[in-house]
Amino acid sequence: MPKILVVDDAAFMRLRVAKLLTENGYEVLEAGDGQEGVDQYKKNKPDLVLMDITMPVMDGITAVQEIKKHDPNAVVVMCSALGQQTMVMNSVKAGAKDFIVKPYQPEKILDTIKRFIG
Amino acid sequence: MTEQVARVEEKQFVVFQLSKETYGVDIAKVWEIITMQPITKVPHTAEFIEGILNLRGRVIPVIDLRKRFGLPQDEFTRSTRIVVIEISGNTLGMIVDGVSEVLRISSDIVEAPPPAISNVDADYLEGVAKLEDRLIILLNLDKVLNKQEKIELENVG
Amino acid sequence: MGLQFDASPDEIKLFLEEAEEHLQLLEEDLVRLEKEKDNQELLQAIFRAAHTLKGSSATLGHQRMAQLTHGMENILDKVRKGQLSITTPIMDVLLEGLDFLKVLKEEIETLEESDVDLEKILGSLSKAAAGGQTASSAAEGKLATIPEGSTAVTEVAAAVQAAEPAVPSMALDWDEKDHVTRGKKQGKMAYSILVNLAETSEMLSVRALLTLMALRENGEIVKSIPSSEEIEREEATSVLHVALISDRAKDQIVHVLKELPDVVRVEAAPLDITREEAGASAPDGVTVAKTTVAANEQANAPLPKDETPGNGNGSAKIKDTKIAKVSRTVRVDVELLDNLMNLVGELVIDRTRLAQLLGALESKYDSNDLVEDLNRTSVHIGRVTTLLQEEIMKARMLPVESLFNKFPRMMRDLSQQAGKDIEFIMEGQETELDRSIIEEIGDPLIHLLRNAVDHAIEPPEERVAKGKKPQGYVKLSARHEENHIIISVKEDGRGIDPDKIRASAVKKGIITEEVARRLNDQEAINLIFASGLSTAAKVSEVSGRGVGMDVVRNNLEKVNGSVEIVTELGKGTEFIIKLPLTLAIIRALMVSVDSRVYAIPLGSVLETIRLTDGQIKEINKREAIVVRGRVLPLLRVKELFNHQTRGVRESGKTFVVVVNLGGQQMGLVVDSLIGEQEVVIKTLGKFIGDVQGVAGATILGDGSVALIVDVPSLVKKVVKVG
Repeated sequence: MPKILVVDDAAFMRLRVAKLLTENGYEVLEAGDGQEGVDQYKKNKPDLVLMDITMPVMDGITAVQEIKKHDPNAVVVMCSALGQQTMVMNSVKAGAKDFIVKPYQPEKILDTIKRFIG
Repeated sequence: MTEQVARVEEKQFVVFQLSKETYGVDIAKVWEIITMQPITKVPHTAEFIEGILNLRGRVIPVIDLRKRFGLPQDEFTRSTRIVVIEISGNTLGMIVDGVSEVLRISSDIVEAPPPAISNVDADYLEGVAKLEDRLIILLNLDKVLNKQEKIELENVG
Repeated sequence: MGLQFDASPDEIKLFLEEAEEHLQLLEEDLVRLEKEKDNQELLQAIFRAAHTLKGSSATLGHQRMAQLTHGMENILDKVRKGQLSITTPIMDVLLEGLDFLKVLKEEIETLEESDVDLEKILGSLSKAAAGGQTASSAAEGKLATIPEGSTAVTEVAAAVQAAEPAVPSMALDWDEKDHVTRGKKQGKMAYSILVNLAETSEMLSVRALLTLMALRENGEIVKSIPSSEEIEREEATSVLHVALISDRAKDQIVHVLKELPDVVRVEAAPLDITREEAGASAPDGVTVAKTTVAANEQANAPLPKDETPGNGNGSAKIKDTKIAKVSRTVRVDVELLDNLMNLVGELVIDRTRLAQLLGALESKYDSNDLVEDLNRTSVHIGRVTTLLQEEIMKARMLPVESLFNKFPRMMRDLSQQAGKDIEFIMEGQETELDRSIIEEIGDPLIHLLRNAVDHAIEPPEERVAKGKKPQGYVKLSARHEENHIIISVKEDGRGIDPDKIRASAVKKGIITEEVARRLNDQEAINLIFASGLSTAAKVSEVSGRGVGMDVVRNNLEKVNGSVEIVTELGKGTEFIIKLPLTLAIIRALMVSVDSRVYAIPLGSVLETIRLTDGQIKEINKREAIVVRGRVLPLLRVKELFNHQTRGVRESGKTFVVVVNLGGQQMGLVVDSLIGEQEVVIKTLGKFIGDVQGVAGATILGDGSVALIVDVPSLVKKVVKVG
């Protein structure tokens, strides 16, 4: 089963995404901030990361950098609100492979994931 | 008698003695039966509340059924037992003279209690089971444990 | 009208829990921000809370909440970018928005739509946001170019459509042409690719960048219009024209591109340099105008103060670490904790039993190896049980902060309403209390604080006239002291006048004139707690204290706490509240009366006295003794609890346990003192219910059940009778 790491400081959002992914046959890992996300990535090598941008301790952009440092092939998809284009741009420049705008459509997330890990 | 009874139900009852009469309570509500043990009195409570006791670490209230039903008092004997029941989350012990058996009673031999069948107020009774050799008075435990009446009792008493 | 959300009950529950946290944080921090305007970390944390709440409520589907939060987030965003500064009106409108958010949150809790009208607050929020200056004219400039830009885009689109299905030509300079030629020499193909991105694409520039990156994976980009620099500056358009060298087939590349999200149309044609040369002079050079598609962003244009990577990380920011700690906790149902507490209680009882049994065994089997071993094991169990007990108690402890955090806002509002100038200080928020106690003391504290603002602190003019500072001060503090928590509400207001209270109490028939005269000042002041003392009308006259002081004391006594008043007329008053650390297990003094064992909570015990024969006197028709010159009224426990033993125990030792509650001292007469021990409080159960004078029961080491004395209700009972 493909593993997806969901990084978001709102447990409610994590729960929503986790349910959607689990129902669609993915194994879900969770992290509550960027640092935890990096740690989880190193420990569990997920196939894809859904990364929120605005988080305490370590934000999404920095987390992407750290993860890419550790694994240049990491697939990270940024999740952000509409008004954060610059941050998403910077994330992409730092190595994120795609982005999804919140509030997201479930099909959007699933399509994006399928595109990267089939 | 007039209604078509859908089916005959059989329930098990714990049968005990109280002041020379035989009573039964639904076994589903009986938690366990223990011998008489030291009961700590609690002040300012109704007469029939005997007190509280320690049931393996739990503090449960104990009532004296004779007092509850206004029956004549007597000494506790070696056969005196405490029937521990549980109803809607409430655990409670009832002091009875002795517990004799567990019986299967089918609903077709249970009738509504005639008014003068027992010394106990008909309100507390669910019915009367007519066995071959005796009568078993089935108690309505919810009524027995009804606090409202307890309060009324206190006021009357 | 019922509300429905596309979420399961547990999702809603989680949403509500987090929303509660965010709202609390917002309230605390907004008030703090007013005083610490330059605290960037604080601002960041506040912004994040609003931002996250917006995202979550939008995801949940509560549009109005998302809208409202968005309005607040807007203001906060401008503040942290320096475009707006925190003023009282802005803070007022933010706090007002917060209040509305609370109402909306309630809608989710009850799944009932409220009829709250958000129009006004939304209007106020956007007005407040608009009040700020846009820092850089660059933003305006960029916005101004939109109309220009859109025409250009339309031109391009029109031009593209007007052109043949073939891809329009692209002007290449010498280096670029060279690049193409070299590539062809290597056997690669050159393509001119046109990609149309959806106009509705969210974050067009990022899409454009991702498209470029996909192309880079399939070859070398010779030139792109717009250029990648322009795209990274967020100046992309929905049309992307790229010259690419690649050893992949055209169809392959087109296929890859079409798979990308938001790609509407892809046209690719072989790149013929010769044609390009010719095309360079062609009139219809389709150069895509540089435009800014800033439509979606609200002044999020690349201003110098924009969000930079690494924002929010790095140096240890206290608030952030605090939040990090919170996310490393586990959510536990309070019920679970209660169950754990009960189980620990059982262990405590067994531990005592074990010790007793061992004692008996030891005396029987003196120095038997087996017994020794059992002893050691029992001691160890005892130690572990104690540790377990401590840990569970800790798990039930919450810092009072969770209770205190709503007070700054409340005090701010109350002071404003009452027209008073008050400095409100809190201390010791990290002090921890058992959570069930925290629940009970909330209302009493609110009462006391309200009274301090409404009645105790004088209006500024009056204070000045008295020679005080115009600003009054109210301090709420909590601290740990031995086995208790002390919470104090202290202010420098009017102080309490014992004479006024005496007068009022007599007037209201609570005590007689005679009694009033005999009361000393402290006792008179304590009358405040008697029900029926003050009515709203006479409030300021009497003592500056309003209705509710009896409720205050009641609530506190419910949790085995007590309250004391220290006051000085004209200078101020302090209410000192003493609370036990935990509810379920308390230390008690075990006493025996007619061979029945009773447990008296140590918190209520002042001292114990061994009586000598003839010491008991009759004073004012009641039994009493004289202790250090003062009369101590006595109560016989056997009478209080209806022992109905025959005959009175005349000879033999008698002891008196002096208890204190709310200033009144009484002596309880018992037969003997057994000792002190920890007892686990067990309730009498729903069937028996509340019994005056009895707090509950406890199971002793020998298995018997002892009643726990509830001193407050004992004393009350007597006063009524007397």
